[in-house]
Amino acid sequence: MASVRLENLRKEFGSVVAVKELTLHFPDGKFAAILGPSGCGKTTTMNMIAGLETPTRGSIYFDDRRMNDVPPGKRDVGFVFQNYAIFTHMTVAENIGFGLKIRGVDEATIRREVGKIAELLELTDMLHVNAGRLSVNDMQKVALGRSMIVKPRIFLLDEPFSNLDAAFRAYMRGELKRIQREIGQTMIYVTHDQVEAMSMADHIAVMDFGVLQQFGTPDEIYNQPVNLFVANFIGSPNMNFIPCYFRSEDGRGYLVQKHGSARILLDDRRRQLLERHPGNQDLIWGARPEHLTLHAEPSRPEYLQATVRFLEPLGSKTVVHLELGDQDTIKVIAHPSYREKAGTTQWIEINPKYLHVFDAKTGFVVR
Amino acid sequence: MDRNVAIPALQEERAKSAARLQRRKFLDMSDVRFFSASLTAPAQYILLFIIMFPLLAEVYISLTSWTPTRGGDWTQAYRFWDWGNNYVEVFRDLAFWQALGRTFLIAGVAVALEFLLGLGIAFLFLEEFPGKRMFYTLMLVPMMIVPAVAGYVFWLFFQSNGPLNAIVSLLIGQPFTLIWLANDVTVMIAVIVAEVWEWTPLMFLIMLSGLVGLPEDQMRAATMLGATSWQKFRYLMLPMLKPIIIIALVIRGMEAAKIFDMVYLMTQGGPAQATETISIYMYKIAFQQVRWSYAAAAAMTILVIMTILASYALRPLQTPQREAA
Amino acid sequence: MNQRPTWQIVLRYVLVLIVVGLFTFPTYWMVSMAFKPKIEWSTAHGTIYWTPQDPTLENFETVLTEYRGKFFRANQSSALPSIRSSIIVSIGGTLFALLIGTLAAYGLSRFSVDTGDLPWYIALGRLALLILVLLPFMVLWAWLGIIRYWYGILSFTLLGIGADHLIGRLLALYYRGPTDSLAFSILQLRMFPPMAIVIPVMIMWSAFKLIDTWYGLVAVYGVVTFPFVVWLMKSFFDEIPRELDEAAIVDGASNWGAFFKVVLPLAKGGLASTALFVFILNWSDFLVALLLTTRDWPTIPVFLNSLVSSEIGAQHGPKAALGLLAVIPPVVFGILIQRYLVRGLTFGAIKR
Repeated sequence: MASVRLENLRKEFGSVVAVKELTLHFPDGKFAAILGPSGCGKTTTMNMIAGLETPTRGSIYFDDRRMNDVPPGKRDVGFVFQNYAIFTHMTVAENIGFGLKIRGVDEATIRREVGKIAELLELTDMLHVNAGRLSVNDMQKVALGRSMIVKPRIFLLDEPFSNLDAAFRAYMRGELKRIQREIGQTMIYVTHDQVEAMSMADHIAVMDFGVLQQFGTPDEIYNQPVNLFVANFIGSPNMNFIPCYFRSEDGRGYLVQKHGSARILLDDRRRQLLERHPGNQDLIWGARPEHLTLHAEPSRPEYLQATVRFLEPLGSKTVVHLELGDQDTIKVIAHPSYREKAGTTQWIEINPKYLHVFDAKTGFVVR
Repeated sequence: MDRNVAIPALQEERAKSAARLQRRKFLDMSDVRFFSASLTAPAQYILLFIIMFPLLAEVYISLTSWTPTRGGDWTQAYRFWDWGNNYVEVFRDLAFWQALGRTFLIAGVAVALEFLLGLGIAFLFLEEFPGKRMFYTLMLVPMMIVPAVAGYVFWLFFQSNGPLNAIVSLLIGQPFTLIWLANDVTVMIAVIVAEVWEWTPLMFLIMLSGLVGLPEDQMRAATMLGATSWQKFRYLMLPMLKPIIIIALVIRGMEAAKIFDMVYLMTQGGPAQATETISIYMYKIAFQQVRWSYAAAAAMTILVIMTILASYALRPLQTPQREAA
Repeated sequence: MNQRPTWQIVLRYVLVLIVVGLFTFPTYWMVSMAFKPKIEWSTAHGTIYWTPQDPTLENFETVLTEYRGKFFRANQSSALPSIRSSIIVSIGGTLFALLIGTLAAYGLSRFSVDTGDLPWYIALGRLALLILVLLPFMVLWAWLGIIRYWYGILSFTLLGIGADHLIGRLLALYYRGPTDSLAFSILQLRMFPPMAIVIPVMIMWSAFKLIDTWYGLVAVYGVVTFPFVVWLMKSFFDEIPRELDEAAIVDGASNWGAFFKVVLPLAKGGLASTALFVFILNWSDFLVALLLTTRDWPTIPVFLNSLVSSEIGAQHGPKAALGLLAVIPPVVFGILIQRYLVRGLTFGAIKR
């Protein structure tokens, strides 16, 4: 196993910059995810780690060895492709054993190793099936097995579950996580699906437009987003953003809504922080729908008044869409039994612990 | 719901529609079956028309010993009824089998060379390079040259005072005056070179389209597993191209076995019988020796051989590999 | 992908140049020969001329005008009639092939359950039965002396078609599987060396008085090349979703209306490519024209052959000039439809 370190990695395709000065360290034996919308450079990064693309600048290290000039086949990296890239003209067993076969391993050993992998992935019954006839789910397993058999130091997975059906995807997430834990494999996983990244990864690198936005544990990413992009990208339904400005009155600090009158009282730490912040007249506060609570009565003065517009019942919860002030809408997660009609006035309670304040100009969180 | 539940009104309806189906008009122009039949009918009947009479006439003549020089027109051939003697003679005729063997030899060697060259050149054209478009088009020109003209071009090319000998002379630094088309061995080489020249571009096109269509991620997957270029070729590309390769070989083999124009213009089958392919053999029998009944028997023999070969050879052209290709 | 090392790029370039050079040279030689004056035609004078030193159009002039006793035979006719003949019969044959082929292709594409997988013993057995049944009739027709006339051939063929249908029905009673396949027979027709069936075709054509006429050649070309039309157009029709025809029919079009107003316009590009492709095939033919023309309608290849086999002198220049003229249309059309060349020559089996 090995750790992966990227230093000022840059990739240009003609005039397009796919990856901009990326510096990252994926620790040994951990499960890391690169998360971002399509076209953010995550697959390019992955391909550079694998050696399928040559970086324009910068270095790639596995442990302490610089890998830039090592050809892909010699990097000892397992790669699972989004479309699995199964060899459809071979049987399952031949697919899984391919890596060993081209290394000149003898038949008996190949058979034994393939057997082991097949057992691990529950493929034993179909070893002699033509791989082109497999279901998508089984192809996925074969692709995993084919990469696993050569015991790579680093395992790269490019959106491996995006074609699977929902139930099997959930199952495979668990399986992959289990396998990763069991063998302590360094895994790097590219996905645009935040749920996948959040549920599986030890570390998540969020990317956009070829730039690393944030690198941290799922908890950090979720609870301490560093900028608007990360805050918006993570979480479903996504975070509420309300444009506001800072107002100090009688030694108390408030965030006042720009398109309305909603005011949020700030604690002292935040007040001091914002007082010193030069752009404090152009801010955005953000709060996740799941951190807001609805009340029928304004039992406490800091509750914000809002009007219900419509409900979005999701079964296990209901997303309530409300109007806050003139233009802003705000989403709140409520209990599934929530039944208020459109037009009803409701009072929103904000947990100050989960309130994020961003500079509207730079997009960065104020801290 | 059970479909056979007895609802009287419904049953009545069903009976009516069944009766309507029974009473279909003899020629219902709006019926889709009539439409589909009338689409294929012209082809079907023209095919029958063009095959039926010639086939029977050929069989008829082949069973006699009639020739145009023997008096009477062909309809009177029954006066020279000969049963299967022509066929016996065909089976005994060394020249016939030699011509057949020669045809398969030329077709086999030429198609094999075309395949290897075509595949190799396709690899050269797999990636982008400046001027690719122009070189690609130039590569395609030979296959569009009229075969008869190509025959003439290569007749020129292989003349003892032609460009080939001049090039060889330049290379070895002394005069080289081999008369290519007058020697049993070199004339075969010349014919095969001409055939390869004309049809390698087609192989090249087919192979290139096959290579371009190969799934890139599977190649990358193999790269990641440490496969060398040769291993990727051997274990991935070749098996994946197999359907296309088979189709290409079958079709080229089929067409090469009919070779006539080019050889006829280059050598007229000569010197002596050195390049007499089956088509040229029959041409000579029928139109130089004017032995029509014998030529008909030879033609029937070839038709039978070709039918058997065709039904095996054409199998890969049909489903499901058509889709795979 | 990774950048290749420079030496690989250079090596590939060198190889490409060599290969393209080799494959272009014979064509180049003909082209240059067409513009060479007589003195440069051969190495008889000890030197070989790689390029025309003194380019001239004399060769074209020679081959396109009637020359008396100067170059070829005592009375050499010009190539102009053969060029006219080539143009007329190629276009005619192409139209004929398109007419029958396109309809059949649409039928096979939309309505066929025809697998085309016909075992050879059924194909041959059916043929053998047909021959056994019809041979006595052939002899009878011959004895009656009517088969040398067009009505004799026609009546015999109608009888044969009837017999063929009966045999098909009979076989279907005992053999559970395909006993007939239009798709297969069309393909199979391409496998036979045309030489094998040319004698009776000549007999038939002379009965119909079609030898050495443009329409006689057109008919043969149509029949010989329509298999290509069928397979090529079928592959184009297959690419047009069936739902479109159905939509047209739901909207009130007749079956024919759906074909002519919806499907055919969509396959326009394919039809044009097919036409050019078939034109190239017809234009390139030598054998059929060699056998079925004599004086009035020899095509360019036949005329060229008569020049090549004529005893008088090695008239390289004029022959090359004629060859060049013969080669221009197919090369131009071929380059125009290069996307579809593979598809055409593999009967639609390879689509790219």
